[in-house]
Amino acid sequence: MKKIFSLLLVTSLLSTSCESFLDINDDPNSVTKVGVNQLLPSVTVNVGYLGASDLFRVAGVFSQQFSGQGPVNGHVAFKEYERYNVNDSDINNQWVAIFGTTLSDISILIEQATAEGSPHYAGVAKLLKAYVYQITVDTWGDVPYFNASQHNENRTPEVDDDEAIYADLIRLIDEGISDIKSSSSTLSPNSFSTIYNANSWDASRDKWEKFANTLKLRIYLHYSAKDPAFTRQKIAELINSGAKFFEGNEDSFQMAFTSSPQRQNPVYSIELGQFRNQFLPNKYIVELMNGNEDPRREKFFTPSPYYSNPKTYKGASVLDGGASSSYSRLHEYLYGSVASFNPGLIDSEGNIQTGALTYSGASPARLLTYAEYNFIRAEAALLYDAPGDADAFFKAGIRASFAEGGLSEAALSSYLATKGTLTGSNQQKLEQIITEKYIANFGVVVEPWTDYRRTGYPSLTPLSQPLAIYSEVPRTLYYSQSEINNNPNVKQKANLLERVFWDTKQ
Amino acid sequence: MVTSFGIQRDRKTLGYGISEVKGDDLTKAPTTEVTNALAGKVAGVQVSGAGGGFAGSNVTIRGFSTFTGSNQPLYVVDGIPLDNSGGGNSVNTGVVNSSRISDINPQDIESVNVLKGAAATVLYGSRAASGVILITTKKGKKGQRNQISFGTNTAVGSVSRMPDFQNEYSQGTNGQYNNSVTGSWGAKIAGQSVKNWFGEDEILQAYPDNISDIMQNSVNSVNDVSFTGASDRFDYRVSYGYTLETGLLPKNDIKRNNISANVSTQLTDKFKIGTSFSYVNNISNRTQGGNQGANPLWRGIYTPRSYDLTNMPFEDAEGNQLWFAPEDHPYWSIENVKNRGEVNRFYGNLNLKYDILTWLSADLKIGADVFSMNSKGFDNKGIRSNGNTSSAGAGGVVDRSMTMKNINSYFTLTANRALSENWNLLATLGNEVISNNRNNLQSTGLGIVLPDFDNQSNFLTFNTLGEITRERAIGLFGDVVLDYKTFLSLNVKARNDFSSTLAKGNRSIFYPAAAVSFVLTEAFPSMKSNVLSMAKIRVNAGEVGKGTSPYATNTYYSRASASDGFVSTLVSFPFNGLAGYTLDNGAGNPLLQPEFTREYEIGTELSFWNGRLGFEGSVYKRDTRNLIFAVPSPATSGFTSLRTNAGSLSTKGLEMMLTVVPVKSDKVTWRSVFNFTKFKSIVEELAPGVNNISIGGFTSPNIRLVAGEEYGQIWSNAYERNDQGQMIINANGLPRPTSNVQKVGNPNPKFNLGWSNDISYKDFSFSFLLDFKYKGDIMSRTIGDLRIQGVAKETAEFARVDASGAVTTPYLFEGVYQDGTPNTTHVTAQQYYSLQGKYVAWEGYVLDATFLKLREANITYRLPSRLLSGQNLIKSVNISVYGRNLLTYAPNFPHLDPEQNLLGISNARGLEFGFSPTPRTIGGSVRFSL
Repeated sequence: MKKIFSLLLVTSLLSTSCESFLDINDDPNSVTKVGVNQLLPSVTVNVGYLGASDLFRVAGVFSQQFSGQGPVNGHVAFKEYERYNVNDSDINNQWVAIFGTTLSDISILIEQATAEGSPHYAGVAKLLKAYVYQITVDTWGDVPYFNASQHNENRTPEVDDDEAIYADLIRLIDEGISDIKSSSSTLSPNSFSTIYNANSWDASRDKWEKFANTLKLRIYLHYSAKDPAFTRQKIAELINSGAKFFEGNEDSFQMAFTSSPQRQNPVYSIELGQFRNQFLPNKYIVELMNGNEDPRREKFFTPSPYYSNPKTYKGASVLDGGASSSYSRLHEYLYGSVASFNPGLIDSEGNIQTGALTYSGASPARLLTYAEYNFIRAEAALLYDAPGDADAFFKAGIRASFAEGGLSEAALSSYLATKGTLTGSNQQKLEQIITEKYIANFGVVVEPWTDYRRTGYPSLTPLSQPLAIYSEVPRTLYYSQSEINNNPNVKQKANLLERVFWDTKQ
Repeated sequence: MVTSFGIQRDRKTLGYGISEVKGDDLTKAPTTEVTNALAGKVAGVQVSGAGGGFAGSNVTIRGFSTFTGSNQPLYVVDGIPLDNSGGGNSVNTGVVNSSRISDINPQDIESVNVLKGAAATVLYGSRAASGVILITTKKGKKGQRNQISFGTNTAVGSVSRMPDFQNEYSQGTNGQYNNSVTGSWGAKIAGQSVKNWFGEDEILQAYPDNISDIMQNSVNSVNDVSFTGASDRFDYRVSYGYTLETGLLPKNDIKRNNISANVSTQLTDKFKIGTSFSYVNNISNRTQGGNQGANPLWRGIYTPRSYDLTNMPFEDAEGNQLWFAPEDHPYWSIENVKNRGEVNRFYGNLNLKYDILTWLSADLKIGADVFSMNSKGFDNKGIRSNGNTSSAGAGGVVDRSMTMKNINSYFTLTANRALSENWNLLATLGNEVISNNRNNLQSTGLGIVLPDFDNQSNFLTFNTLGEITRERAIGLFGDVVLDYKTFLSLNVKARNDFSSTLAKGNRSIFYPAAAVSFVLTEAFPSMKSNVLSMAKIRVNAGEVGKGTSPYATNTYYSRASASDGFVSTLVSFPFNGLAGYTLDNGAGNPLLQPEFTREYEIGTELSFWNGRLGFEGSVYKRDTRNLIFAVPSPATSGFTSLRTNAGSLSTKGLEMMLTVVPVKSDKVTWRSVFNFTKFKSIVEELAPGVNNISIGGFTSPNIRLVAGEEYGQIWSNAYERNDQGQMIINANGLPRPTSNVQKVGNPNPKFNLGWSNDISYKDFSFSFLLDFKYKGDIMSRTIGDLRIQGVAKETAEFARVDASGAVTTPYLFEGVYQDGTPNTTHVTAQQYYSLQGKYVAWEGYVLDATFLKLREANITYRLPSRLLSGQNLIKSVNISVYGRNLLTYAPNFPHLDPEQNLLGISNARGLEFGFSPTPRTIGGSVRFSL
């Protein structure tokens, strides 16, 4: 009997020490607190990624910079985009990336940096938030903003009016500028950022400040159709305040990817997986540039046929049924420099087969460029009495674009000689500015689509029914299916022809 | 009959159903994995294969009892739980896996008992919420003299179902030959000369053996030797098993060595010690599976009929792939995309039993299940698809090293005492301590430098992962059985678990059960007659509670990344020398409470004509409440899910077993058993404001739980229809897809029926097992692709081109135009089967996977003893011929084996993306006993 009792004793002892035996549920693989300098890189990489992934593709296909191609009989999402067939489920990943990852981390970053006395981090985070929301509002219109990203504090945020969000973005940018100019900050994000990475905070801050003001210019210009007086007043005020803007391509707001695997620009790395050969330059932009004999084509596209002399370029369209190998492909401007070339994989017709050309993938995601700044100033000077000469800014925009593409001075001058002067009525001049901006903004997320909705330029021919879902370019995107399913405060749109508040041009 | 913790009870007194499968029944038509061998043999258990010879099966006992956690049973070997993790497949990368239950050598199994309801499993605790499979290994039996037994089972397999191909039309589109498109919608093959993809002139011809040429015969060989014996005080069994399995695709093989021992000795009259343990070494090589271009058959299956796949080169001198399509060439992938795994596993137990009094004994059992699993996945230079590492064309290697250490200890006190002449008491009191540890280290090297060299040093960038998971629990339990005479038995049980996975204060999980058994024929002997031999009623109610997975009570930050779902576009950290952290999208919850499953069962056991006819049946209702799962929340809140207690899930089911012995004589016995399984699990409620959640698959299609519907529905877009349900057809004669997703299929069968037969005649015995599954949908991408690409036989059912050379339009979609008038626009075969036609919506891929299979057959000849007389070396010789998966009848599921599951062992069923061929095996077995 003794034995049993001792065994029972062991058992009961085990039970009383049960609590400590069971106290092992703190995850040793993760942490519950991180530093602001670990949060910011995640945010900046995701902002760069936003400029080079789903939304970039959808908006780029809508604005006919790109075309969805692929196997004649295969199911290809990008082909569907081109016929304006973008469903709520296609949006899920992008929506979660924007709200669940980027804005969620920005919200924590702002809070934590403020609490820890690091206004420089808080300021940068606010500027990034303003940029992300500018893109988000331009795409979806009304979205959760004032009560969004509060985690457990508000699990089903209400949708806010897009115009009210836009107005608050200006306030947010001003707050961000003031934060980054704070005289003291426990930590500064000079080297802990993948955007405007610099050795000193002074150098980095200067660039953030220029970006902040240039972003304000972009936002004010978006009011042009709805409230031109507001655009006129605000742009003049901003320029006359002596605000610093981009001064060269080195100031452009962009995120540099690298050539390492899983660190490459997704615009290129999608060509390395099973969705390769499906995202090509669109017939519209290629023919536009063919018509201008634009020297930038040699950086933007591969020749088709490959060995054509003089080089010819052929864009794709979902309306044409050719194999994707029979078109020009994207090239160094978006893919980074050529890493290898295998002439054996160029077939007798000059078609590029898989693997013929590989690239570094170390191209930047261009989010808001110096070239765009110049075109904004050109439009503002032309139509909204902003300081400066429209023609000079127009030329500066083209110059910046050629420089970004690495084109020669000779190529630039010959192009400027034929295309570099604004002529005709203001409307014709506007078309020139926006069309050049459209080329310069090749691969810039959402903005070419926004310009088209705002001004009607460039003069695209939209696809039409029954091939396409609509006979005009969509004006917005559906909310993601996941949001509709789980947030009773968000109601799905009737169709993609609903408009963002500034989109009033008929 | 063995119930929980080796408590031996007379089957007659049990208030709940337990099914037993004898080891011999598992090895009549041997398979290397025990889960596959259970198919069709147990009422109330649904065994659904995942497709492919290298995968285990989903085993679902009495329906689904949880939303997103595992619904697989707990496997208990000689009283100690055995880890059965693994077996789930990722959708777009890697290989098809088997679960760790595949480490057991079926030849070592004496019997399998399946504990189904909550009242039966309650003592096994939280992990038993989905039922228990009790495996008892063979041991020496008292009175058995020393015996050596050895044998081999070796079978050869061929593809059970291969698609029917057309061989009339070439690669191309719209009736024209084209050497760089994937479809076979080209010119009619008539010996004309064309320029092939290599730029050479060739005479157009069909290659009817395209793709079947890649396949080989599989081999499945199980060899074992065992030594058994027992004396009054001592028994032993020691065995060695060697299993070799090769796949239908080259470069797939599994080699398994099992060494097992089971010994016990009676040290004194009161004290018995015993141990049983196994060492397993399992080495496997696999080619890629799933929905990805490195799966040799994913795109290979629809190689153009006019492309000489076997003889055309697949790479140039530099190793670059030569292949017109953007995926990996099937042969290139087989040679260059590799996955090797090795498991070294030890599991076993030490058992001490002491009889304190004649009616009271104490039992201490300590068990360990320890293993290491090392694997290497290698994607050679030039890979185009995801492969093992999703290297985006850069080449990659992933080395993984996992160690698992699961320790269990049980201490039980058992009293068995007659209280009076009529009453007997059997009581057990015990505790269990569980400690599970998992340590996983992984390094993925990306960017291969030298081709063919698969060492980490040969790569440029690295993603690493270190993961430690610990889970502990303590359980206290009691079980009291009161028997009155021989006909009434009352059983009350309870268990209290304390789980480390819940926050302090919520850890205690208490759950009781009660069962009554009443044998009518004993209570009222007058009922007994020549016809009715035995009648019993049993009723029970029970509950099982459980915690959650480790680390779910808090929200964490993890290493950041950026992705858009297109796999190759993933961006990882560290990025350019910077670390990045992100707050997890899934929020944890310190307030989590246990999840409970309650079950009511009523059943009967009847025996007629002295057992010539037997019936056993149960109806049950099972309800799970307070389910713990990640409830989706809108991303705009910052979280995409919150783990919480919510919802309810209920199952109603019926299971029946009918045993018939139509013939029983000295020479001939025919025994026939029908097993019927039917259950329906309904998701009663998810969470407030949440109507459905995805449990696997893609953004669309996927498998969802939907409030008010049966568990695990297939959701995707569908054909657009009008209010009358007619399909809306465009002016061009083609249907339209909906922009929204909806339910398009139900993968749950209406019922399963197994029919096994054993006929013995003199020294021969013959057995076969038919397995029938009625209804249950599968969304088959492969069948869709075979048609979309114009390679399936039916795509050439009508002449595609008429005498004038014009493309014919023999097809008409049944439906109406937008204005309601019937569609009269005929379309071509290519249009009909295209992504603008039948496959415009995922709904078009859904097929009813009803099947009838001749799953097993066996003929055994036992050498008559007279032939063995005159020598005393050989005691017995058995020779048998057997087959598995011999015939398949699936009226609505063409081309492929209807048992397919992309996600493997998972709650999500009904998707087939990326063909995994299953073998039909025929083999022979010889067994000697010395």
